[in-house]
Amino acid sequence: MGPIRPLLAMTSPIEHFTSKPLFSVFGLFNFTSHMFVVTLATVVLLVVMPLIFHRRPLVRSGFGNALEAICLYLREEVARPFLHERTDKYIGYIWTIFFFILTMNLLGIMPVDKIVLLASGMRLRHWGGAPTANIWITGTLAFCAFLLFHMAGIRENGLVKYIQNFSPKVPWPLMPFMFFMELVSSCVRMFSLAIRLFANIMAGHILLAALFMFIVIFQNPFAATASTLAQVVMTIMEIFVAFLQAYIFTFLTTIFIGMAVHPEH
Amino acid sequence: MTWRWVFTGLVLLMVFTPLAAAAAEDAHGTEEDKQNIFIGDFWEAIWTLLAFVLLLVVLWRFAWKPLLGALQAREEHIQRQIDEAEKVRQDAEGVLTEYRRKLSEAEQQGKNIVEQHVKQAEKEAHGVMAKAEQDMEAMRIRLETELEKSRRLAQKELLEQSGQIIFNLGREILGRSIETDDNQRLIADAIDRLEHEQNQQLLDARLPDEEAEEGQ
Repeated sequence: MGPIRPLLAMTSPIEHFTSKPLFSVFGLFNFTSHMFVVTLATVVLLVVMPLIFHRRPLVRSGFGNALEAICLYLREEVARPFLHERTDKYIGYIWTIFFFILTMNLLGIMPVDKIVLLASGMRLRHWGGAPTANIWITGTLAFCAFLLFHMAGIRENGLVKYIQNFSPKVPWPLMPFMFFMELVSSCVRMFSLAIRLFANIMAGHILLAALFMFIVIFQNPFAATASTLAQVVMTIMEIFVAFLQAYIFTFLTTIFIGMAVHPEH
Repeated sequence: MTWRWVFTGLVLLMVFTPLAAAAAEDAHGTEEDKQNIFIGDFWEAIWTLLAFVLLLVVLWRFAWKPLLGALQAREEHIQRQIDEAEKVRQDAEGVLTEYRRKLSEAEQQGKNIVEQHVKQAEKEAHGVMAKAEQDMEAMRIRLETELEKSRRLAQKELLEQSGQIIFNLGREILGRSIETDDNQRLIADAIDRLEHEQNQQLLDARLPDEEAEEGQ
């Protein structure tokens, strides 16, 4: 254990997925590893989605069919129960946020940094990571959702009526209190969206790192085998969590939009 | 409409920028950042926002719009097919009702025709039976009459032969011949007497039947 201590002390379970500066852009800001993965996810989606969906066959097949099944599920089973006749007005945002988060989650699981490192002849380090384990990024997505559901509420109901709906029908002495509570609640929704996604993805990556550490700590074949098997299982579960968290973020955003545009519900 | 949203988002970003920048300064300030799970940069937020807005605008135009169009076209196609199927079903139901009505009418007509024919056949059968009975009765009467005629003829012949035998016996026994005229007269008398007796028997036989019919 003696010689390993310095190694363990130097190794952090969060280091493999946290944001690292890669290079400076005009001395204005640092281009980070998470920015790279966000860009990669954007490019992938900008290429794949139009390629698949620009054609309009009556029935799709293969990967296009799978993507369309997901889109159809989000439209009919997630959005329509809350948005009703306004579904198609907001479905583009819902699809975009789902696939954006999903792609970033999946790229976070993939060893993108190792692939880039190998491809660059061991020159480019840290070109990867899990952007959805970054509170700034999940916070931005939650902020977008926050903006969207307030703007949708104002757009569908008008500013005055929307603000009036913040206070439910209660005896007038309670109204200011309820108004304040609803105002706080609408902000809390944004934070809950951001923290849920961030915490779940980060916890998964820390767990994988901790499992990997067992190999270094115990240094025997049994521990290595058990750790590797556990990592395989947990990685499969992380893939599931990637889908699940993207779905939960999308689902909650849809509910918030629905609550804003249909305050009577 | 999308540009209005983008513009509003950017305005709000500008409002929040000072606050977030201050937080970013704090987050990147020390060497302990390597162990900080909240490590990040405000520029990452800006970058993510720009990437997301770009993605939203481009995908809306080049992916979601065609997809929505395809889905709506498919829904319309399916709805049209359902409507057509419903119309065809209603038509088929109408035709089925019409056919059932016609079938019912045909069944009723068939029953009526069968009943009519059965009645007619029964009537004809009764006619045939009556005619057959009439024919049989007529035949019976004719046969009876012929039989009676034959019986009378046979009886007459028997009497004539009996007279001739008596005549021959008398000539043999008495040794003389009764005159032919006498003989003939005797025979004729015997025949008349026999006929008279027979007629009397017939009358006697008919009288009780007539009395019985009158009584009824």
